[in-house]
Amino acid sequence: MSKLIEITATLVRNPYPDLPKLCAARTLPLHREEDFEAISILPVNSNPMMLNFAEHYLLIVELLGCIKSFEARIDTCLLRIQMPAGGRMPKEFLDEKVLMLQDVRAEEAFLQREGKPYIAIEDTLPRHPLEAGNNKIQIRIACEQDPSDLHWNLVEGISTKLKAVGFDAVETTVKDRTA
Amino acid sequence: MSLYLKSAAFTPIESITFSSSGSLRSAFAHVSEILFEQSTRVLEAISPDIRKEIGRHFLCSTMIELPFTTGAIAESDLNVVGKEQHVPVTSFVNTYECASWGYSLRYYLKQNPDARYVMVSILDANVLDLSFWQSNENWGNSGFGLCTLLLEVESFEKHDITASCAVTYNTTPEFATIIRKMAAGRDDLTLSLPFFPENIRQIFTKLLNGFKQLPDLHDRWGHCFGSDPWLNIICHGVNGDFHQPKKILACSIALNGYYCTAEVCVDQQSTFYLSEAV
Repeated sequence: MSKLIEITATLVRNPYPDLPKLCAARTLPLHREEDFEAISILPVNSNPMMLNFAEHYLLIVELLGCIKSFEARIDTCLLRIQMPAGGRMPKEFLDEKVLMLQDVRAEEAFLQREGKPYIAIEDTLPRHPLEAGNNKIQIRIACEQDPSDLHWNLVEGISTKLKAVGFDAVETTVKDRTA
Repeated sequence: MSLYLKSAAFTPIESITFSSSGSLRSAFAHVSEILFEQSTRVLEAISPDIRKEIGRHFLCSTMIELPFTTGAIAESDLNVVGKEQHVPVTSFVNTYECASWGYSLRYYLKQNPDARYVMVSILDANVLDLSFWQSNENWGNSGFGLCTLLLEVESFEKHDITASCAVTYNTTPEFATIIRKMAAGRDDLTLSLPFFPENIRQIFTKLLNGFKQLPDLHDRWGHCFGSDPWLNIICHGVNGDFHQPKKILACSIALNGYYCTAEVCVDQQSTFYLSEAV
């Protein structure tokens, strides 16, 4: 039976406390009074911002590196990435195995129905108050068959990584994949 | 040649904003109606039975992100409620900016090399009416609108779609050089490039001199982000300019260096729609 392994966690601190921070707001330049009025109609996130854009991308690059190191045969990786991005994405995100989406769920549903193996990294880590998000991460690993030792080693590797970079409440659940 | 442009449409969106519509949600309701109507029209090129085969409808954008990022609008708001859509929007891709359409096609056709049709819409509308997006030193005046493409996949070859990123930050000349290499020795190929004002366009003029290309339409439309190469094809198509089958290399470059190309065939059977501005 094919399974879906889900790792969930909450970021509770900055992942790279010893890394010097570049101060950069990276928001659109607002010139006119009307620009400020337009922005003011948007919801503002009151959750704590635990990381900046560069740290967010570094975190995802490290997770992708962790996944790659276990050599799991997964040809598709979906990433939830919000815009504006604050600059050029790391080359790892531009790999042909990776697709970055505003919301991974709909694309994931297709892969589920087709029974394809994939990894989805769906985080809601806000980097700016104009981003929704509650500092959670969900990593789903969809296997074609029963998870192998390789998959469990991968889960262990990802969970260890998440704890090392400031995530708490790291939990794993396994479900049957629904057609 | 393996990708055939079966049908394509463009609707300029010039006056739909949160203030003109009364709210951001109302503005998106209006945009989703246009998306519904345009998709329906483009799909008329194929039979209802074949429409059922279409597995994805990617919606791509460069600049409409803030309402989604802030959570004011959800991806599901892009599909009209209460109307049956033949192929509703399934996947919203915007991180690759103007090259999002190419990355979406690369992903989908790698996953589904046997697919017969794929549908992509490119939406850039200044619903927040921000001056940054109205004009910019990087691309001159902007043009806003919705473009929808229905591509027939005859036999997909990996090189029909290119989706990659410049190595340097001198992106436009690097992009032009890449296009030059792709088009070298291809007398059968016509380039459809992004629209830029004269000061940027001269990079293409110098580096792509001698290659067949559709004229730059920046003076008419402004820079319409990822829609540019397709809008150019549509403009020629509605004028009936494709008397003979033509191979076109549609090319887009993004501010952060992402770029994409698609080699498509168009002919007199391709259908094109260019609507009045809304």
